[in-house]
Amino acid sequence: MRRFRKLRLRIRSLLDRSRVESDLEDEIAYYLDREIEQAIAAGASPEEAKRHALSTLNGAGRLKEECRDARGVRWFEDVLSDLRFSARTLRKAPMFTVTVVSALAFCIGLNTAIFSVVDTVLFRPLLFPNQDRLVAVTEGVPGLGFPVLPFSPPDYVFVAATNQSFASTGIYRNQSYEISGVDRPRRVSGARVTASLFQVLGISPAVGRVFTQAEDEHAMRVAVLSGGFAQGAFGTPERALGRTVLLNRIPHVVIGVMPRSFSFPIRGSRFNDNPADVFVPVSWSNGERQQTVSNFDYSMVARLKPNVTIQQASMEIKGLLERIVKDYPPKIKQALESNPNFSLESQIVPFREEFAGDVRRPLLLLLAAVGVVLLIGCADVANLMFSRAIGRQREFALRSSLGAGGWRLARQMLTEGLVLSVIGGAAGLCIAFWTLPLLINFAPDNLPRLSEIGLNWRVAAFVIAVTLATPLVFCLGPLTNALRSSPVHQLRGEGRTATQGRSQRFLMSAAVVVQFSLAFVLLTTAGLLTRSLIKASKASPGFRPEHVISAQIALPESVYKTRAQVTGFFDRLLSRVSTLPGVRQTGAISDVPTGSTANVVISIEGRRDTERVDTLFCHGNALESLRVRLLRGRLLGPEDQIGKPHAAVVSESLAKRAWPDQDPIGRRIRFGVDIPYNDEPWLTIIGVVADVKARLTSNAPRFVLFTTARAWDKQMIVVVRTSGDPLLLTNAIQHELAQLDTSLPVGKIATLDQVLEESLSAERFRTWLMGCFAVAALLLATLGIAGLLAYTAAQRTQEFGVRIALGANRRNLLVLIFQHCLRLSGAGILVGLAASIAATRVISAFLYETSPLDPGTFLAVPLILVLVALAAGLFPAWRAVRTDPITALRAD
Amino acid sequence: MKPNDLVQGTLGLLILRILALEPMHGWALSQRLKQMSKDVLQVGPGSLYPALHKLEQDGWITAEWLISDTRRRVKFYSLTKEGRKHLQSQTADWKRLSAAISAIVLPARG
Repeated sequence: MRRFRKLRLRIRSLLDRSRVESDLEDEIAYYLDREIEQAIAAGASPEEAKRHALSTLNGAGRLKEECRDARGVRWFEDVLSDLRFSARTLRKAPMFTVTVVSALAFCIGLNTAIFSVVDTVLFRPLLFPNQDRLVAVTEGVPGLGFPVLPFSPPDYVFVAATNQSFASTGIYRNQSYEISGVDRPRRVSGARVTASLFQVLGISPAVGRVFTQAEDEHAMRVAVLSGGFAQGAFGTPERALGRTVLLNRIPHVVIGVMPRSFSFPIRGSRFNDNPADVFVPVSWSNGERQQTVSNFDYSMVARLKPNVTIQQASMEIKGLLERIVKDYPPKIKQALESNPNFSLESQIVPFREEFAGDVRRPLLLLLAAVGVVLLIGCADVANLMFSRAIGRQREFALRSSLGAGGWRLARQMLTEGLVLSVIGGAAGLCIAFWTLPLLINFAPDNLPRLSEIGLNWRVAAFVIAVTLATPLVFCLGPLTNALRSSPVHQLRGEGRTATQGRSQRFLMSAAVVVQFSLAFVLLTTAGLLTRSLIKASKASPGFRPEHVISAQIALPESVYKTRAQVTGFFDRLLSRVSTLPGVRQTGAISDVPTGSTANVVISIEGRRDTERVDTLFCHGNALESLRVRLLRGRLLGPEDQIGKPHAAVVSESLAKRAWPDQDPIGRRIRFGVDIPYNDEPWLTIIGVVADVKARLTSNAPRFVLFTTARAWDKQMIVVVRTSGDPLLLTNAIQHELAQLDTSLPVGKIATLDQVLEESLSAERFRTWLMGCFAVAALLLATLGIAGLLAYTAAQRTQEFGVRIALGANRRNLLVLIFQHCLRLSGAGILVGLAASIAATRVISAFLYETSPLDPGTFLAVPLILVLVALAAGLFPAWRAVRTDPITALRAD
Repeated sequence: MKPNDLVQGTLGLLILRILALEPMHGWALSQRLKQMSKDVLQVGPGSLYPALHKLEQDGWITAEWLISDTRRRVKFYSLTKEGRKHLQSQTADWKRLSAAISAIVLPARG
């Protein structure tokens, strides 16, 4: 009660100040009137009575002040007056204010934008309720070279049914679908999921319902749409309900639509990372349920029971997987005896560690870089504050001799800094708002959860923290100075103008040196990344991408069931396309060779162990169209498609690994482990080609196997080598496709050059950003040195005047200024060089064929910095040379 | 005797004690103080009002604006429940303190 009353009074004193003041007046007036009345009653004259009453008051102003003090609102009044004073002085120095505010706004804006991205991708909890209980469960077959794999259907079914650790479990697998019956047929990203998945994640649909376990088990044709897709295709989620859509030309009824915020599977996951527009029941066939030791394709997510730790769950799942291996059918067990290393392992990690693994380090690097930009900006502001404080030294001296304590002056200065940084922070927030969409636009595909980006309390807290912290940084120098110096010393003044003391000069120079060294680090980092990006984009992927156009085609399996149907379609398409003008060779391949491709286990005839290889299935003259470099034998051609698959081409590294010092041609391999019941046909090696890179930025040897297409290769990329501009064929290819199958949606058509360029999007994104930060750092550092030089030159005008009057050569003055300039930048460059040598080691993992001590970069950066410093010295030098000794001496 | 000379915080105790009798306004309070102390304690507005405001802010007393017989707005102070408790504990403290001081300052006779 008492506390409440106190609070109410305080709030009233603060908010209703005029009312409280007038109450106080009334109260005192009443007292005086009664005092006067009493005096008159005692026989005094009215004048006497009044005088007497006023004398008891002993100064109304002081009384009021003491009452305000008693109410404990004095500090607030002080803050108000500090604020008013700050606003007034800042208005009087518009150039200073605008410069400081824009520098701060720029830096805080950049930091906020980058922090929002980092926060969304790395720190923000998932949208799922109790997300810290969600875990990702994986299998692994280390003996075959796969330490981490998603689940296979039978293993999941067993684990889901028998485990005691999880409250609920679900799985999902990405699969793309041809969707028709809405508007034009097209391909959408989809996911096959268990009915339990939505329950595990704890997300309910926005409208309608999700499917039931029974619908899943009975393979009912039902579908749940993503919010975004339903909106785009039907206008509103409600209108989608009950509609029938054709998925791979099989009718499915839409029973529910998820909320728009639900983007799942999450981008950047280790497996299955394409946000789906269509969710269908996984509905495993009996065949799928019984495929042992294969089909490791389904990502498992589970919710831990309360009080069960990840370690406990791991132990249990490990035991369950051991039981699975023990219960394998005898013939598999027998076969596995040849592989003593075989075991099923399991790994459980918090679900949020499922993604963002690859992007964590580059993002933190960017955050650090943008923080450095802020530091450089703070140094700028610090020096501006400093030079202003020196100009105001006499004002401060006067105020302190009038009784303002050092702490009071410091508070005034901090208030000023705070006003500047708050305005800067607010403007920065606006800048962040405008730059964020730009940033997201350029963001590479592998950044998870970008759709969730936006202002939240963590971003707000970040902005507030930065805004409050920056004045502490940039007021530090002026503050210590103000607290230390004595007023007498300053009032006496060295001459009529106050000049900077030694420690001030040292602090200001130090700030510029720090700026230069930080800019040095950012410039080298950006320079190295740029060189590496240029190298990577010029690197040869192992084939010749120029003049090749590619078109993604996926045949719905409901229509194209047999291998004959599939190969027949591609044969017809390729023969039609090859008659188009300008076409040299055509072929189809399961994936662009540079990029993620099917990674499978093969066994080599005559050897017991297995190899993991990237496999690409080819049709027509795919390898010739790609101009893969043939080293021995011959390439796959249309004639190899006849009959059962029997031919294969291997990469140089694989040939060397599998048959060291032997001729690989004529040797045989086959898919899977070499066990009696493996019915995969043996493939004879007919050629060896140069390695094809997995990524443009990797030089690691790669085991690649090219073989002829199988029945299940319904998704292929048609590659067409042309003599002219490949993009001119776009329409013709679309036309030919429509001729063959009118309802087949046209997938992405792009030149291979474009595809390869896109594969560098992550590298390009971070290089661009780093480049922008480096340029920003350079500009801010230039501002810093230019400001300092101009300031010192202005301070030394008198000295220059004297020198000139005494006959100094004007060239000597130039030397003086440029010496100063070079001393500052030189010190910064030296420190920066040392810092960069240490710092660039951190980014060596991001560099492709570029040494972290790349001499070109390490020569160019100091050169740029020196040039910038000299350019910054031009203006003060020009002014110094033109100093008129008479005016200079007469000034002040 | 000026309240400034009084032991720190004693004025607050006096005000609480007087307000414990009945709610009253500032001037009446100073009159009552003078009268009860037989003109020894004369507290001017310069000390009285800050002390009143402090007590109010601390929540020991509360104030309310009433209309006087002469139809003027007058601020009446009264003791709160917490103030009454505070007064009791302060009084006990005072007794102990003054006894202690007396024991030292006034040497026992005989």
